[in-house]
This record gives sequence, C-alpha cells and structure tokens, in this order.
Amino acid sequence: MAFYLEKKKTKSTPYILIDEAKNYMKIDGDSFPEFAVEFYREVNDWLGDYLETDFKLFTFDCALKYINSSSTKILFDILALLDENIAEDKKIIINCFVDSNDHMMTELYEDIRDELENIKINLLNT
Amino acid sequence: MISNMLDYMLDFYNMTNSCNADVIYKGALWHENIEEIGTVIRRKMDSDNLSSRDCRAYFSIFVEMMSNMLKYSADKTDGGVTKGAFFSVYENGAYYALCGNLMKIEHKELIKSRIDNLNSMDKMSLRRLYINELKTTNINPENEGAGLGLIEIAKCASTPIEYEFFPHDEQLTFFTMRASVSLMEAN
Repeated sequence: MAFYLEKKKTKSTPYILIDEAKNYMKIDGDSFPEFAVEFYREVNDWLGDYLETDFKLFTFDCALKYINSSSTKILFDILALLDENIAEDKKIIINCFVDSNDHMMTELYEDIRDELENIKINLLNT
Repeated sequence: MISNMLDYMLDFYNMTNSCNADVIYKGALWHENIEEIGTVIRRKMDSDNLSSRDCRAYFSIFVEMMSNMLKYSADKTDGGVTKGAFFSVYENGAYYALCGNLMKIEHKELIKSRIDNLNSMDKMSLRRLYINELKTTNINPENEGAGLGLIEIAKCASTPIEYEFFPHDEQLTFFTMRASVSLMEAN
C-alpha cells in the first residue's frame, strides 16, 4: 500500500500532504510547532523509507511562509537527505515558493541551495 | 498585598500607556498562548501596513524570544509550565520586542558571551553563521533547542540586542532582552 498522509494547517503548523502513489509531497504554511521534531517525525520516517524504494521522479513543493529556527533545522535536514539520495535514475524536483518581497526567506533558500551539492532547488516567486 | 491591588492596576495602566505597548504578557507560556499573542502581533502589523520583510523579522524575534524563555526560564507554574514576560512596543518608527524571565545564574555567562559575540557581527557574517549552524548542530531532544534562536534574533533585529541581568537570589537572576525592527517603507 502506498503511503498517504494529509494534515490540516493550524495556527503554528503547516498543511502537509504526502501522496506516495503520485511520488509527491507538499508542505504549505507557517511552521512554529510546540515540538518540531515530533511534528515532522512522520514525514522524516516516511521519507527515509521512500528514498530506499526505486522511484523514478519525486516532487516536493515547499510553500513554507513563516518558519522558526527549529523547523528550519528540520527542513535543512530533509533537503540534505534528498540531496544525498539523488541519482541518475532517481530524479528529485524541489520547488520552493517564496513571497517576492520576503528577502529573508529567499536568502535562506539560496544559502541552503549553496550548501547542497547535487540537488537543484527551484525558487519560485509568488 | 491584595489591599494594594487597586493602586497596582492604576500604576500598570499608566505604565503601559506611557510606553505605548500593544502586548503585555506575563504568565505561563502555553503553546496556545504563544499562538494567540502571535495573532495579536500579526493583526497589529497588518493594520500598520508593515512590509513583508518587517513582518517576518518582527514575528521571528517574537517566536524565538518565546522559545528561548521556554528553554531557559527557571520560573514555572505548579504544573511545570514555564513562565515569562513579554512586551511588544511601537515607538518612533520601530517595533520593540522585550522578554524577561528568571534563569539559573549558571547560564548567565554563556548567554552573555553568545549575545556579545552576535552583536559584534555584521549581517553577512550572521547569515553565514546561521547556515553553518544549520549544517553542523543537532536538535537537543531535551528542549528542542538547536542553538539557532539567538542568531535568528540577531539576524532579524535592526540594532544590536540589548540585555541585562538583574540580581534575584543566590541561584537565580532576572534576564531581560530587547530587540527592535526599524520599519522600512510599507509596500
């Protein structure tokens, strides 16, 4: 059975969609959970297993708006994990949606992108 | 004590009026309270037409100050919930965030040296330090801290972080910190 997870947005946590059948993940909204590690555990656990499978193309749409420092650390680790697992026959597309006036978020993505060797992060203005 | 309370309320009212505070909070830092105070702050920033950059910077300072108090405050309710104080003040084109909490004296030198170090760095160095910490640190499972909060505050603040430690007793000190965001033109 392909994994499927959908979590509603709250005041401090983003909308999350994982649709393994479609090789797709989306995170959308603000992220400053009370327990960030706990909140993202399901995502991390699934991703670890998924990356072991023989998928061909995985897409991650990241539309985080406000993100606190512990969530940023978790996002960095997710992106670094994707970076390590990219291969010739395993393509990964990462689309990051940023408010064009939000220079700090743009800078953060640019800095993360510079740190990761293999993966391409598409920065898209909203 | 109770008999003086009507006077206290007058002092409190006059004090908050004179410093133009939008949010004054002292109490338990339940996550729900932090969310609600965040909503009040966002509403105020919306009505003042802050740019998205200023909104992000100020909201970020607020959230990281709250997280910092959650981690370090030595003042707790009987149920073990951390307590602290927070002010949000608007004055002369800048938003100020202030937090205050009791903490163990043993943490004082560490906090002091970390803030002094951050205050000595320019924005570009802070940006580099932040990404470097993202790469190298791990989240502390005890308190969810990754050591990034103070760097984030320094990155977002328009001026150096101001702080003070006031004596409390033999074990505890009252730590207060202030960071501000000078408003750019609204967009």
